[in-house]
Amino acid sequence: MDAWATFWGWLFVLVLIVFAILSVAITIGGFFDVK
Amino acid sequence: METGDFFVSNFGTLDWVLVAVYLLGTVVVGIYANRYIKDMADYVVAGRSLKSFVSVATMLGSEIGLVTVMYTAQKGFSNGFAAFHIGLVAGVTCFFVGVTGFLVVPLRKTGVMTIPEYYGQRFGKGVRIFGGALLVVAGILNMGVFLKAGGIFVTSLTGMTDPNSVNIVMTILISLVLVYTILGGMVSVVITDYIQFVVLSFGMLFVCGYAVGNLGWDPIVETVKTVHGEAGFDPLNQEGFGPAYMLWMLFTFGLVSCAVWPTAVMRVCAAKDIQVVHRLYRWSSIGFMTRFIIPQFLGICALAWMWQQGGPDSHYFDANGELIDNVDETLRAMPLFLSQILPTGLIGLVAAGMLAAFMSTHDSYLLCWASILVEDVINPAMGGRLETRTRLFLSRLFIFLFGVFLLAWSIWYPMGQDMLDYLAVSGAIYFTGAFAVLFLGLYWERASRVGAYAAITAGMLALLGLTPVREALHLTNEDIGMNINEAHIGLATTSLSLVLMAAGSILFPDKKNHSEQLTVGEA
Repeated sequence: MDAWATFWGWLFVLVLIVFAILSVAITIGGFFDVK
Repeated sequence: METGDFFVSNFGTLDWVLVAVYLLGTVVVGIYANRYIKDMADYVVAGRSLKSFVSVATMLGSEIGLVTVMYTAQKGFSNGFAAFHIGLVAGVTCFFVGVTGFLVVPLRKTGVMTIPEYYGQRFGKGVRIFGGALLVVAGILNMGVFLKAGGIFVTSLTGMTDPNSVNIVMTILISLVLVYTILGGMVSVVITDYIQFVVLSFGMLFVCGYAVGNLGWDPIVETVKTVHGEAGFDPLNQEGFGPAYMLWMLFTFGLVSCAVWPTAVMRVCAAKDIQVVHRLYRWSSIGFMTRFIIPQFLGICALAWMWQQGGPDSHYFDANGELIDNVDETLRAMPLFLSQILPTGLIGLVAAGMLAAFMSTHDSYLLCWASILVEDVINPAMGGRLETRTRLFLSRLFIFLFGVFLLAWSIWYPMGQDMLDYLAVSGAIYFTGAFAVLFLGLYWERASRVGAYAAITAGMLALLGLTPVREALHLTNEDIGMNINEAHIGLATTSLSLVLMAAGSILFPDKKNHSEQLTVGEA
């Protein structure tokens, strides 16, 4: 159970980091695209 | 409904103002963008000339809407961290499709715009009309619970406690959606999708951080251990999901939702070339994973919060600390949790972003089903003689009729199972047959018309996965003395469709093989 909890915990952190980077990139890049 | 301080929402006057300003602002931006666009051709040109950042934003924006957040949060609440496997298999499968081009590249090479159009090109007009009609039925049934998700979200977040308030909110929501769609909200979709992506993505990231800050990571994990035990972490555990369910999720929310579902197919068909298709899917895999894992985490946070507030023998738990078995209540848990922890102002912004996403989801789905019904069913059945004006009128008429049906279905239908499972089963009426026809039609040149009819018809057996249908036919697990769930029924239907497609094609081959240039080997 603890191994699974650790796995899902790190997967969640990884998804958050990747999504945060993607969101910032899209927000900035997208602004110039829309312009 | 509980009284006292337990469920008093933080939603205040400022939040209502924010919602009104945001929705009004979206409409104004849409009208401003519309003045550049005279007709559909301009819209298509605008879509094709999109740069990569905005196209990824619109792609992810259409994956992460209010309905998605609601049904995935419910899974996190009801099943704990083990629900993350759905996002994991969805992301990995989408990436696999992006690398290999499985189904989507040969489909793009055929030059069709919809799946029924492919049916017609490969197997003739009859299959197109029959397959298109079944697709619309499955699609509208699938959409039938969207409104319920919207109604429950709004009433739970804003603290409306009157039992009739959900129905009143649903009526207002569908009226807004119909006005928005019929007046032609479509052309402004690029700009508004971008704004929604920015608001929703930062909103969700902030809410996740805020929730962990409020609850603490260790208490969240401990609550899942207490309430769900081993099954809350191990997706292979039979007490929770089990291997069959994981395979069903890989097929439905992995392969089908990225490669067979009409909204995904439209993106494939509109892509400039094969390279764009590959790239689109590789990037989409992040969105497919995120759309499940982040809302599911909010569902898990809602579970931890409800447990911390109430413990055993409270609103969500019985005296033994077991989670209650009430799908309407578990659907309410996440917005109820947000209404408690988010401060005034932020809660209004989240609500506004979610409602705007709700509008655009309905807008694109209603247009999708109406256009398939007119272009792939009615017009071919009339010999392709309908004028543009008549087709436009019919599209708008069907959008209105669909809206009336959605409201009636949301009020009347007793769901009886998690919303995610309802969506998978109702969609399966179409996609089990569609997968067999696409897979064998694209990769096997002997696939025939009779096989296609048989495979598409077999998809209707997926209806047996709906709880009220099983109850009406006395086929519940208690009646038959076996533990059969929607995953078993869905996988069995998929297998049957594949077998019938193959057997029908071998036993009744097409007289004239008009498919030679349309299978992968030749394309």
